[in-house]
Amino acid sequence: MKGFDLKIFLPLLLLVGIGLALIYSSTIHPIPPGQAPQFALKQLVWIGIGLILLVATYNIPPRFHLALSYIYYFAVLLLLVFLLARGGGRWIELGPFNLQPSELAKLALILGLARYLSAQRIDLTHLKGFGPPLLLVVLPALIILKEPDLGTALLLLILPLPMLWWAGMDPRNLFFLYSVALSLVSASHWLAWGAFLTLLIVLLIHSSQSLLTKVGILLANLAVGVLTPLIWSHLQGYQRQRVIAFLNPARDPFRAGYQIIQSKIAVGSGGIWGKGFMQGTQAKLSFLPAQHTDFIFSVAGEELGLWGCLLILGLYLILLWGALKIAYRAKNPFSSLVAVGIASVFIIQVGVNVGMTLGMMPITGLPLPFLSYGGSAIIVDMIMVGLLLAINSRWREY
Amino acid sequence: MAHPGGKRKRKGENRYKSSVWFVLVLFGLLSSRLIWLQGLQSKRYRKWAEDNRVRALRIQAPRGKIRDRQGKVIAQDRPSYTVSIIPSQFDKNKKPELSEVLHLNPGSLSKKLQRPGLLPFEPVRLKRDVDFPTICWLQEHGLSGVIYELEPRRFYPYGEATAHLLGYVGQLTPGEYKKLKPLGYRYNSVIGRCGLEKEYENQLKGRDGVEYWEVTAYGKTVGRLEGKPPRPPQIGSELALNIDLGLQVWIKENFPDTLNGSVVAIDPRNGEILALYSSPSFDPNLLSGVTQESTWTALKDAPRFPLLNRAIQATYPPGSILKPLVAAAAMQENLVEGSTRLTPCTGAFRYGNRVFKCWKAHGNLDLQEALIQSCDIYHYQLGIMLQVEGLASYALKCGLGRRQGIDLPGEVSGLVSTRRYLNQRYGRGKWSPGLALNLAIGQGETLVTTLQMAVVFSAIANGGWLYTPFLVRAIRAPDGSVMKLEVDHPQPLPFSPSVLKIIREALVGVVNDEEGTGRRAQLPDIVVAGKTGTAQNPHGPDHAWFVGYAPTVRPQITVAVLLENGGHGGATAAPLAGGIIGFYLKERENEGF
Repeated sequence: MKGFDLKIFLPLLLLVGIGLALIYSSTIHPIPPGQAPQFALKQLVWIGIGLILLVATYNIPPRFHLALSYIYYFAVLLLLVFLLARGGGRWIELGPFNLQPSELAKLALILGLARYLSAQRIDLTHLKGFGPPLLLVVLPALIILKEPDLGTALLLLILPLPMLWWAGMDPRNLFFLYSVALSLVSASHWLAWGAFLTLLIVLLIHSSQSLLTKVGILLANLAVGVLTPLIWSHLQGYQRQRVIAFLNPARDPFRAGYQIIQSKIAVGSGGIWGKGFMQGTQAKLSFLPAQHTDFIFSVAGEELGLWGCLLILGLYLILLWGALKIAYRAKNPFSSLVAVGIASVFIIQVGVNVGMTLGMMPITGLPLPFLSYGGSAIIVDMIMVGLLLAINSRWREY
Repeated sequence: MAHPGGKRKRKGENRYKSSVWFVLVLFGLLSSRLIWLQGLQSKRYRKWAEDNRVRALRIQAPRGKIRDRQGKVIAQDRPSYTVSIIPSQFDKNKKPELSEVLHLNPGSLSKKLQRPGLLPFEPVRLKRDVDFPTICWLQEHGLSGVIYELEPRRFYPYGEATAHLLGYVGQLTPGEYKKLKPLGYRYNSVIGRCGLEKEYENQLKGRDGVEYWEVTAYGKTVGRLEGKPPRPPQIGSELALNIDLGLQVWIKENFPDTLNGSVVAIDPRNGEILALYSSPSFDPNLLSGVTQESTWTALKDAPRFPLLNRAIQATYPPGSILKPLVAAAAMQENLVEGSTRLTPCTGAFRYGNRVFKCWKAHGNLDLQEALIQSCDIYHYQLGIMLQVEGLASYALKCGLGRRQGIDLPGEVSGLVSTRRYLNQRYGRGKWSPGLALNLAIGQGETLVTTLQMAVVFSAIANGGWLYTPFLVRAIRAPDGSVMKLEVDHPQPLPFSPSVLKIIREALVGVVNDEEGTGRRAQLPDIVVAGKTGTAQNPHGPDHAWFVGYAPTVRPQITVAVLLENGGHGGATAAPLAGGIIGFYLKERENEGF
């Protein structure tokens, strides 16, 4: 097992183990008594499948994926289009298993982008080079947004940022590229938008881009700043609720704000040592929403306490550090970009999900990698780890 | 990326380092937040988590009973069924069925279920005091989400007879709830609204019990909470009153229904209130607990204001019942004696450029005769002698113009026209000293309560002592200990015994002399003393007064009767007062007192 990086694999095993225990604990309710641990058993099956796929992926040279990356991408896009054509929803029912194509889309996008970026240099000024990756990102993101799954859609939109940076793009140009998104966020208040626009203009003046590009960037930002209110009015009611609830949870304590408050209560009431395994009242008595999926970290906080949470974060840290190291070490640009893409997905999901359960982020509906209940997610996450291990074992290959 | 080389490699290393730093900072932020929530704020969140899962089920404590002086129960709690609904468990299709059984209109049922801020698992009270057959029906049909609980409810067996005395209880308003929460009141608590229920709220209310249950977010009960023992409810203390229930009921039954007014009966030996009645009365049972809005509005806005306790909250000009005090004051000041004759009564009396009238030409009278026949002209002359200052000073010393200190809320103080008051009202020197003439016959700006007159006449009867009138003689705690409420030190009347003797003789004459105005208060075998009053009233017919006591030797009861617009005191108030005295003394005799 040459290059089978235990610094990544052992934290992974521990994390899925902890996740399994928390799913078991949080889905057995006191009433009615005598419930079967059906969620934990299912998750155990997914983990088993995930491990097999992880080992299989480990044994496949990354070159193989390089060749197939666009095929993967279009296959996943087809699944997404199928969902869209069927009229929305997140899942495709396959017997006992519900396939969630948006989870596959994360991996497909990483592979597709990595292939493109490893072959082409991207420049803002060349629409020809800039267009394809933009399309690569926006197509699945839009379909997933329509599902509706705001969290995953945003994840796909942010994913190119670290990959482009890793591929060597100038941070200032990255700023210009994402300036439109920043415009969107800051447009919620005219003062914030004005400040942002001023910064943008200053940076544009000192940039080496052509005048035409500068004007283009500025116009794009102006357009977004003006259009944002319109887009806001087209958001789903519950999506808007989530953003509002994040900004002011006390305003709506019985709907979206309720989830944030209950999650904070669960985590906070755990204290340093936790209430003990199977002892969390917030999860057991259903005060905590989606306790085995999006809010599994709150269960950890309640039952395992601060030490348990820091242990989990520590395991993630070791795993992510290892992943970044693999990305850094890999000589093959495709492999390196795939590794950094995978690391980015994990970093974003851990940051957003944990931030959400601690009341630092809006509720976006992103699961916690390896811990949350969910077959598609855990299997795809484990395949991605398998990919990391495969890249690590062949890091010299060019 | 495709070009290996030193510079590229360095750039790659920088990116690697930056990305690791990014992750470290991110995890540092998350960890700090965790330390904040779980380390520093943990206590607060633990409490919230407890509040979430623990439902404290309140068990309402029964209020203490109230008994009359013979120990008869006149207010107590009785068990009643309250039907509630848990919205999340209720099948909406059963709405018509349920509203029919409970005799609620479907609209009000829907309204109760749509109250803003309602939690889906919090029981909503639909109806209190549901009868037993309905409860049986509910038990048989077992509608899901419909629950019923046994709760104590206040009951006043003598209804209208004791309404103003006892008051009633009502549910807290949201504002009161906020204010009283720290004192152990709950949203559904009842509180004494007026009368003794309000005055002795703290003694009567008892302490609610509580049971702790563990519940889910959906309000399903998991079980009793371990480690937090329930606390049983503790009944409130009992009140023992001075009130004689028999007398109280007799007054209610014999009071002229069509008239407004009040009666106060006091034991002159100690200030114990034997009866206190205000007409019109109301049924406090209609107001106890949850009151229908319409019932409340109807009572509150009724043209005769039944909720007003006219014995202590309404003031009237005293009219002629003030005359004994004026006469006593003049004698005390050595201005006249019992046998002093003044300018005879011709029916009119000139003072300055004004003519003051009497209701009859009485001729030549001495002081006692003037009292017996209630001659105004004689008293005008006493008024001239005493002046406004003299009249006011004696009125104040007799306890007028101030609250008597009865243990009921809302007592008013009445009014004594002092020089200072008149200066304030009319301006210095802008009022005529001739006011003294009207004040001396109890007209003008003097206002008294029925209670005040009962207290003053008690003092005349008992040899000159003003006792604080009081209703509650003892408070019996649930543990059996009894706290007796002592008679506090009486204040002396400002009159010497010889003056009082002359007045008392005159008061006997009022009822018993050929010429007396209060002859209709006479009783066959008991000598009654008293004074009639006919108070002029700018808003309508005269108010009728009679205040009297009996027997004349060691008096046992003083009765003050006021009938609004009742006409001549001797004609209407005197017979009622006589009847009350007669009933009471006979009742006492039969009981072997």
